[in-house]
Amino acid sequence: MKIRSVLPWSLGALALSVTAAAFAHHPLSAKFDSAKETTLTGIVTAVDWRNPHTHVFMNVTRGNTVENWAVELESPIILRQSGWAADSLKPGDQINVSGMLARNGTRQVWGENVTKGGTAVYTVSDARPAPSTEPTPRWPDGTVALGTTGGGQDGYWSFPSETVMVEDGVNVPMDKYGLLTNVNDAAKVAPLQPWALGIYKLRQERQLQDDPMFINCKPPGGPRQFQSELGVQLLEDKENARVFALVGSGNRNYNIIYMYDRQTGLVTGDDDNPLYYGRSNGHWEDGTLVVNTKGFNEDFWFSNGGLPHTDLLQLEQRFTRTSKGTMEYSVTVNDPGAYTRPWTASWTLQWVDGEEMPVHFCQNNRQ
Amino acid sequence: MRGISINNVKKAFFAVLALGLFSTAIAQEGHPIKGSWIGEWQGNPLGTSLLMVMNWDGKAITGIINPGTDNLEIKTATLNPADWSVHIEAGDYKLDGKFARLELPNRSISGTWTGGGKNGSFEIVRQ
Repeated sequence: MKIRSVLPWSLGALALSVTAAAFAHHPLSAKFDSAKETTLTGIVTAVDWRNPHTHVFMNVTRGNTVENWAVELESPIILRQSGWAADSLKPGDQINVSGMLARNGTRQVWGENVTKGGTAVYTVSDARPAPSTEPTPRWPDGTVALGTTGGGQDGYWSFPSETVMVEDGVNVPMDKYGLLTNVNDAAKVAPLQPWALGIYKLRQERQLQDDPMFINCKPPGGPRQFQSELGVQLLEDKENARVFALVGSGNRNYNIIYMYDRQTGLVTGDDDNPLYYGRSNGHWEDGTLVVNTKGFNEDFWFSNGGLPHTDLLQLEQRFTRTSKGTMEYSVTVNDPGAYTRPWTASWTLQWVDGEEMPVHFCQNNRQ
Repeated sequence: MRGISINNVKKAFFAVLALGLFSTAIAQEGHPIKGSWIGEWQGNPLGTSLLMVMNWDGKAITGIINPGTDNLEIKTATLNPADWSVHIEAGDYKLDGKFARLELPNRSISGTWTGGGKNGSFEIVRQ
């Protein structure tokens, strides 16, 4: 093959991969347009199996020309959970792809359906394993175990029943990233003050593309850490009276819940050095862990979908492990800077038994 | 009184510059008017530099214009999220403006001002 004929393809693939990397981690709707669907048939040239999104590069022949396309898929973590591997597709395989086109007009498509020889490849099952109904694990002293009870066991909480925050009792259609089907429903989601409603609608109208968790690798502070597809781990340090909430998707950062009224030491107040996860104190109420948190900064989105908050935000989070497999979670949002009254949202988390929490790092921003 | 050396002025300048660059790199996602704003109001005989520090307490916008010896406390300020317009009154001055680049931390407000028998345009950028 002549270099002259290879060069344009190589440059095209390079341009596609650079474009893909420059806008790599994102809510789906921020990058792809559900109103523009396409189908492609072509030959796989490469599989880029890396977080946060797998990419399959393919050549599509149209008449006498060959176009280079990038097919974007879920992360390797999620694909692996569905039984796929990096070599499930190989260069030279002929595939058919259907999915949404990129908003920016580049040759990128979200691979909703990828088939090889008529068989689906890299599909992700939304079906979750049935949660264990075994009794709630307890420590030797009888208190509820929030995670494992030691002894080298693995496990973490995942499969949130809701990945978006909406006030309890309200039913508003939106996708799993929090993008409203109809932006005019914004006022129903929570009791937003007028300015906060305006900001929420702006974020929605911009397809959530300004989410600092994606573009700046900001932590998923507040309740957002309990709506991550990649899970969260509650690690109890009983000797030091604290619980660590380890986040599966936020560069392995964590929140410390102090199980005593921590007013002394390095942390002296809420006005100095506000934090992404705030400052949390916890206590038990009849088998429910109650966590009160304040001292948040304003540099992150505390929910998928972009509900605003201010540094006046205070949370009361309640964790009730009703069985080995299920954690009931509720959060009451009290932010007089952004909402007209306190409001509550609830969902459940499911125990993933015997597995380590997946590791995902957001690096170099945007990636 | 000790004199001010050129080196100290340079250090101060670059310190302020570095602080400005650093602060623009950090997002602020709360109330859009909250923060420090630097810009100019054209035609003001007292000087064109305009510095505003504004806050949101959950009910009202508070703040100050040109902190220092010639500062003005903001008496009233409103934000209309329907068109992202802003009205600010401080001393004899009234400023009416609109947000631009609202989604960015270095958003701006531009518009017109009146006061002291004068008027003109202004623009401030969030730091």
